[in-house]
Amino acid sequence: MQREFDDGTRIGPIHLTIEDGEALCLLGPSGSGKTTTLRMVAGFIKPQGGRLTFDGVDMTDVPPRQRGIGMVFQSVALFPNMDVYRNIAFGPGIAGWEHPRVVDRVIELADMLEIRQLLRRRVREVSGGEAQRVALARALANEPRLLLLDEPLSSLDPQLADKLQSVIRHIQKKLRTTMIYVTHSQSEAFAVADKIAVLKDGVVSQVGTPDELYNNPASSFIAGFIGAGNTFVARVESEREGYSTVSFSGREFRVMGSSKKGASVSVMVRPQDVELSRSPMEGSFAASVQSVTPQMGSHRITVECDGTQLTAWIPDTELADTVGMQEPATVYVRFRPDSGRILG
Amino acid sequence: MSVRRKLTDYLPTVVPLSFLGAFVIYPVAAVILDGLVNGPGQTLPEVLSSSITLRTVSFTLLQSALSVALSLLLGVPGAFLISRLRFRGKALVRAAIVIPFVLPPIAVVVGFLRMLGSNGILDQLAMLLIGSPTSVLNLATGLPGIVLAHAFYNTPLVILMISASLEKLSPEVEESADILGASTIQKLRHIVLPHIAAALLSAAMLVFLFCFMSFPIILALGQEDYVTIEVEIWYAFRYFDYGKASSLALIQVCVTLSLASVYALSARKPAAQATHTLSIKTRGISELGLAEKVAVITYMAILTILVAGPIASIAYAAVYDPVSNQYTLRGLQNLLDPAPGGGLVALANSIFYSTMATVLSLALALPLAYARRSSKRRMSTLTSGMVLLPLGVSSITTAYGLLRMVAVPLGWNRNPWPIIVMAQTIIGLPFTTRSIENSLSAVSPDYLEQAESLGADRMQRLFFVEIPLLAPGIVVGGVFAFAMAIGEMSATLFIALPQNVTLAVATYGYLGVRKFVEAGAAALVIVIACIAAFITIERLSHGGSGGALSWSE
Repeated sequence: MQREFDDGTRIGPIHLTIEDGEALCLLGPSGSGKTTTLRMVAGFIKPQGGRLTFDGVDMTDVPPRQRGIGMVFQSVALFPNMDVYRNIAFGPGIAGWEHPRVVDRVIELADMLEIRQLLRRRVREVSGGEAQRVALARALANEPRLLLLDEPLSSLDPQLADKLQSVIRHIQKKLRTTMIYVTHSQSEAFAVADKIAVLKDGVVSQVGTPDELYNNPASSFIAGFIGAGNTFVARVESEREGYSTVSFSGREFRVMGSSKKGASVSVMVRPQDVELSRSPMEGSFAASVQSVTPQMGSHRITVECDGTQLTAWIPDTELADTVGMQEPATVYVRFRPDSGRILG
Repeated sequence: MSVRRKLTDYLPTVVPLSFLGAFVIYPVAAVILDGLVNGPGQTLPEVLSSSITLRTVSFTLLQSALSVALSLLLGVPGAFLISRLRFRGKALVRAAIVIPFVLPPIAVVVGFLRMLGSNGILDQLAMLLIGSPTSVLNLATGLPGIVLAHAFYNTPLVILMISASLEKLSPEVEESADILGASTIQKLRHIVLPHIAAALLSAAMLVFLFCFMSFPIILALGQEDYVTIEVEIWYAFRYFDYGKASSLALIQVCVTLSLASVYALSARKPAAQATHTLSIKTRGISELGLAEKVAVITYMAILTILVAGPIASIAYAAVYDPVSNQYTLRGLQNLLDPAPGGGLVALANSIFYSTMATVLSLALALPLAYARRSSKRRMSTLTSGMVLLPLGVSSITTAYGLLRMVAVPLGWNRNPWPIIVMAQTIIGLPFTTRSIENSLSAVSPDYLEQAESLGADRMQRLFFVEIPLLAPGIVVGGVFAFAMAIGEMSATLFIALPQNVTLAVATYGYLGVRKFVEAGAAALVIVIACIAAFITIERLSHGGSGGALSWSE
């Protein structure tokens, strides 16, 4: 599907396939076109080119209400004039279900989402996290073929968001609902998705399982966006059996991936694979400390070497404190053996 | 709280509240009581049991109800168009929609007669079409004229109130219903109507209130055959039947005040659906189907004829004499005629009284606006009630009260111009206060606290931060006061002696003696003044008419 807007923004062409029962996450920074893509799937935005098919049936011109999908919005969008029960029962009611079946369905979902005690509450009387559960129940009530979630947790505090993440994952697995989940948070994407599509500037940069994206990022953008990988340019000195020896800052080391001898390549190294020491180590090079930021249980240290910034996560409080006190200190950097990877 | 602090809190509102007490509550209450007790004329039981009263009250209710129905019928589709349709010039249309509301009724009467009346533009077209030598169409007088004129006034109000409510409906709420399978009709029934229900009720009550108290339109278009309570009070006073006038005024005040308080209560209730809306769901004209396009165009055409037609006809009425079937500048020349009965005195009076009323309004409205925003609930409720009081008390009764209970004891009855200024001030006060209050709410306490943290003392905060921020609101309030005063006819007609005639009163007088171009020219001047005022308001308040019409917020 693709679409160009009056302001010149372009989305697509986007090619994606979701299997039955699969949870796909559209991940990307703001403005990358995730929500627009989701709204094209929902039918609120009409694609100018391409097709959308459900089980081989063309849905491109089918109005949203006939697509058989459920959707949870970022703003929750519960109907303010109805109580929780009537919100959840709205879809089945519109679909003309028999009353006993509606009641059974609402109670089933309310139990699953632990909101049974809220059924008679007014919408404005429920908290943010509860409202999201109600919105999820409402979206699922019609037994949709596809569940769409547009940044459903972005307005909740982190602890609550964490908890709801696992609720969403659990229910999606249990009901085997096909799901598209939009988020800008990598951790959220990893927690809920079977497959992640990373979007950038309106196009899909890479699609894969969370492991694939983490271990085999296709570009420096994905390497940086997922897992905060360091990328830098190095020169290939030799190549053998899927590994290359590259040089950077006067040192040579082995990385995964192959390329022509003499080529300049982008190399990615995860922050946890960067080792720092105050004294030279074997194969290390010198760098200057830029900043030291305490994290939970570790320190995030940024160093600079030949104009390239590298980030390291060091679980060594003592080292970090010492480096911090002596800023700008000189430290020695090396990468764990075979931890680097040639991108693209 | 220290005594001094209490004094500084309450003192500024003492003056405007005393003014309203002395010049609205006291004269109205005193004159009603006096008429009830001392007469002369019919007594309250006689009035209550009279068949004329029954007829008058029934007609008042009937024309109000019909006017509400027509205003809603015309206004609700407009609200949907304004809030849901994207088209070029939408900002202009949205601004222009308010114009009818700021036009004085007597000028509108002139436009209506010229446009829809016997031998009016529409009638002449119809005569041409069917080849009739005599008039075939008159929609300007009688019940149709009254109801159409009220719709002319109140349709914009309905459009504004309902579209404001529609724009607060989160598009995602509607999309949720969409996704869950609701059709357009089901969405309307389950989502949109419940959302706008409160606004619909408020709009209906406000329109009912305005139509219930309407005077110039009924007097001029009803032509003595159609009489409402307000017009009956006017006749009773003129025939010195004070008992009847007071009895009717009492009935009217009871109805309007109870309506007004129900309205105020319903408007105060926090809207359950006041969710913050990021974007409003709109559609471009090109996205509409053929049937929808035809409906939109038909609606626009009807609204243009009803709203723009009478306004444009006022200009036409100023130069075209239907009696002699000629174009003439006589009406405009009359405005500069200083002789008795000429227009110059009226023009000068209008400008002088309106200017005085503007100054007085601002002096009263500023402290009232502050008090209405007061954190002290009792204070804010008291001033709210007082400010809205003029909306609920008939201007004829107010004028009569002022004349008998204030002007006569003070010896102003030989030249009652101060009373005219007071009456004009009182009638515009709710609007002026509302505009200033609105700009006050835009002054975030953060600015003042920021200034304080930077070392500004109370005076410096007032002069360097608060007043500059408030200035546009004060000007808007002033312009509103001027526009309301220059167009005010009811109270002025009652109070004015020949030397006090204003343009609005002169217009009515000219109509009565069939001097149509003179009436047209006088109405045109008022309309130009009001439209100029309106443009100033729009410019200064960046649209939204200074919020003075947003009573539901």
